[in-house]
Amino acid sequence: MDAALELAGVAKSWGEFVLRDVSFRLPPGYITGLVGPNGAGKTTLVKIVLDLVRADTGQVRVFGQDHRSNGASLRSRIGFVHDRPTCYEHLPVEQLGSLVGSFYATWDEGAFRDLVREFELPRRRRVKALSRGMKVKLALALALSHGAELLVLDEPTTGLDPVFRRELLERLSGLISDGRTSVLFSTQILSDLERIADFVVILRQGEVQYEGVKDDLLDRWAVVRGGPEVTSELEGLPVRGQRQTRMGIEVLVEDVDAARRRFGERAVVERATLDDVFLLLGAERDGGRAS
Amino acid sequence: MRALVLKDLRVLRPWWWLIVPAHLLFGANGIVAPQLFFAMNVALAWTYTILLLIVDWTQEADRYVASLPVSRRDMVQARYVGALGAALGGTVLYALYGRVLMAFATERLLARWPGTPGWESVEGLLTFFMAVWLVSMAYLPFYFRSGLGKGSWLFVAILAPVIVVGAVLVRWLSLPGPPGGVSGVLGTAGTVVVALALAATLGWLSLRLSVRFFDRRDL
Repeated sequence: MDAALELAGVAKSWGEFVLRDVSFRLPPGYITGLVGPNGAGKTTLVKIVLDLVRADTGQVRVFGQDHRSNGASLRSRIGFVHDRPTCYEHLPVEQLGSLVGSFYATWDEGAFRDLVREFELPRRRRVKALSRGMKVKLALALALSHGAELLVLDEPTTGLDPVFRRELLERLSGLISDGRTSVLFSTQILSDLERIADFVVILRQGEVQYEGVKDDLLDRWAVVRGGPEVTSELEGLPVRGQRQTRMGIEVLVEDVDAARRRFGERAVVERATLDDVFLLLGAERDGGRAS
Repeated sequence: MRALVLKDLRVLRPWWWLIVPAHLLFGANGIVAPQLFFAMNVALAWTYTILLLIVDWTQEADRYVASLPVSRRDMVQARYVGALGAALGGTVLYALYGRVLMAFATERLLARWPGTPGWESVEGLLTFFMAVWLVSMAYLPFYFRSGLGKGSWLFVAILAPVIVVGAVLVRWLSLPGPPGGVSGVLGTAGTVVVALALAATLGWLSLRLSVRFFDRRDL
């Protein structure tokens, strides 16, 4: 079965910013979380997927087709939320809905109205008068009202209150249960990823540092915490990053069982959380990052 | 493309009411001299084209619209349809507004208008339309290449000297100003055909450039 989204060797240089050799695959019916610090290239990658930014090299395939050769038709099957979630903000909510809807053959005005009601958006208020969180809700309502098979969301949970954030994540989880809808969403909020993502792509300084199944990562990876002597016993372990702390040293290891066998009681070995991975992956002991 | 053109009309609807006061404010001042009235109305007609570009630019709408199921070519073509509408609409308003003002003009004011006002002749209306069209066709490739801010600066920096030098040359060399001089040779019908052919050629060239530029631009 074709992937909902597939990137192979995507690269883009833009002034000082460089995105290098990004490859990952999002199968239908799954959620991929794209995570990285500010300036890592998340938004650029989202723009490349939507064909707003042209990659220098590499290939992007959406539903098995080149995303450029059949762009308009493919975009009719994609719902999106940008980091600036809306436009034409002088229009009232319902008018923006009907304006955006006029571009989709599969637009469901009833579904849009239901979502507006559910998200408690004031239909007649101008978009510019809405808060950032409400604008995100409106963008989501627009993205979810035409039966999109792929949702591309750029930091959709930023600016949302915790209650709606949880509701949104549950909704995204519910959406993919049809086995047909897929979601790519970028975020800096790791707990969101931990809650719903099936796959994780960690991006830092324009490079993919990790790409794979989230549960594999959480099941297999470990953090070893101990004194300085830990570093002398790392030989042969799949170390993916380490850093000095005030208490000693923290080491990210890709094999939790091997780490437990190696250190026994001489160090604390715990399963890694996404926070640990995000913090330690690629880090060198002096606090820098491995190239 | 139809959805894009309709979208533009809907987006601009809150500003339609500005047409009458804008003409009152600027057009009425321009009535003191034919050249000024002409220039003011050309500027107003061009404003109708650029107003949407300003709205889109300030709201980063190009990025949003390009994420919808439309091609970049369609986006460019819709802008050109808008520019054509603005040039035609501006020409109609120029004629209507000129007649209305003249109906209320005093003898003293009428004395400043020797000969037939531009909107009374086919050649005059054609000149007006061509002026608006020429500016739009020259400007839009800059917009699609570099956006409203940088594109406008480039447009002014590159084309303003050309226009000034051209105007000076026409004046110094006493060249016949089109299309009055042209119509003497071609007749009214011939002038209309030549002018429309020129407008179409300009439009085609400008459109091709804009499509090429916009297709390469990162949004």
